[in-house]
Amino acid sequence: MSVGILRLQTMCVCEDNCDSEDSDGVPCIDVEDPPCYEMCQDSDNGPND
Amino acid sequence: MYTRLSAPLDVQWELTPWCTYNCVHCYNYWRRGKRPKRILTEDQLAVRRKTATELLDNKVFHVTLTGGEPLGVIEQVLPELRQLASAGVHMSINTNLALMTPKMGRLLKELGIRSILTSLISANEQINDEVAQQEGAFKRTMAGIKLAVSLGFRVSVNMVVSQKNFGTIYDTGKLAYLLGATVFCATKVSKPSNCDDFIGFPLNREQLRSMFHELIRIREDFGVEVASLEHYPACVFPNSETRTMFGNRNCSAAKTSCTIGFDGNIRPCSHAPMSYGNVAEDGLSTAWVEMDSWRDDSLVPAICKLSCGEYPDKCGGGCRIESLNAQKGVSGDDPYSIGAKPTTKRSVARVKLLDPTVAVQLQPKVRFRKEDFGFVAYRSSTNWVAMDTILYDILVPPKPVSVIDVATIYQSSEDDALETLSILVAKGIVQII
Repeated sequence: MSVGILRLQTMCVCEDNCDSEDSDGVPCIDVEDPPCYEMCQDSDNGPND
Repeated sequence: MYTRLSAPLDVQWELTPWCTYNCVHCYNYWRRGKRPKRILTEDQLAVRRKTATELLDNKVFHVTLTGGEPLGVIEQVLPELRQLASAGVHMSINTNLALMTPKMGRLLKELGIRSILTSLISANEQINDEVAQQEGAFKRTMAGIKLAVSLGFRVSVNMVVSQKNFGTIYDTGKLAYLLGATVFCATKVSKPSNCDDFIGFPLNREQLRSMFHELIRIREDFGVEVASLEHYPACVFPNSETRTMFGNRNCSAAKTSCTIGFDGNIRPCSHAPMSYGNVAEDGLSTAWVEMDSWRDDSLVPAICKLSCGEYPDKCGGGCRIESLNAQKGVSGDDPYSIGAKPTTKRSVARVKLLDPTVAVQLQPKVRFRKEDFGFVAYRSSTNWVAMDTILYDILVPPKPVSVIDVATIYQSSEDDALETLSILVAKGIVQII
């Protein structure tokens, strides 16, 4: 269980959101939900871009 | 249920109601009837000045410029946009690119804009121009996409899919790829709120599912990234693959984002017709608080809350405005939901745990905003983290941080500290040094 990172309901870092075969205690990590009609921002702004 | 942040993280700012086209599916419902004027009046400019001030005062991280067609007025609101850019507010733009020129490209780059979301209705020119209700729209947008790509912008092409262009999804995706788009998106049409007769446009559930399959086919055939730009109820996805790929959007309305309309009215999202205040009269903060019903579960359909089991972690309960426009009320069922627990799953990658001996340091581009619970650390709309003040103090001012540092300060296990730093690295908040 991480420390210091708050799980607001607005976040989706979900330990229970993996497929069952992945449930080996390692947490899943997801990107946050982008607003509708918004694309991930440019490469200067985010690691997934 | 949802934490009320002090302000939205992201705002869609409708700079103008004016547009080069008159798309029949446009959710910007004000353009029915008399077409608005392009030149902004002094009163309208005053609303934009106030909007910029409110965005800065509320420490909004990212603004999507939209409309109408924002390029039509961007030079008129340049002082306000420069004000945002110089304060470090990141901006992107949703535009049909009909007005794209090299000069416009330079102007966008000056504002720090590198990412463009554009709309291409169909690879079939006739269908495209019929839906846009503008002869020449296809040629103009094609030229705009080519120019934007040649100028180095990251261009995502979105196709609003209705009955009119449903048969051209694959060809349109192929065209977007050939034009150099980074991402091809297909998003189902939504009935505009003030449109009484939208017969002949909406997709049925099976067509929506086919749209997802077509997107996957486009990705497989051309290697282009694909997406769909709205939140869909989890139960609509035909299989786990489509749910994994296109079930990543939840409803962010009034949770992390909202829309400021051209008239200054503040709405939960761009589709929503209801306003919770005006930026010039009430301010963003007041309207944001007024939107609590969008955060407290009261608008979520009973079946989603009580019997499905996927809400809220795995499904947001569908689109409230789809329900509203289907005459079911804003808290009714999303018309695309099947009203039963989905049999599909959404796979989410496990976080890659770091080597426990590494040190990390704050990524210089991360911005922070103070909140009641601590801070939001923001990298982009998809990569941000809420953290307590202790973690903030560990990271700021920037310095090397190890697993042992975190474990010692929190008196936690090193495994927990490692997980924390691994999540921060995955979200681009810190970097390995």
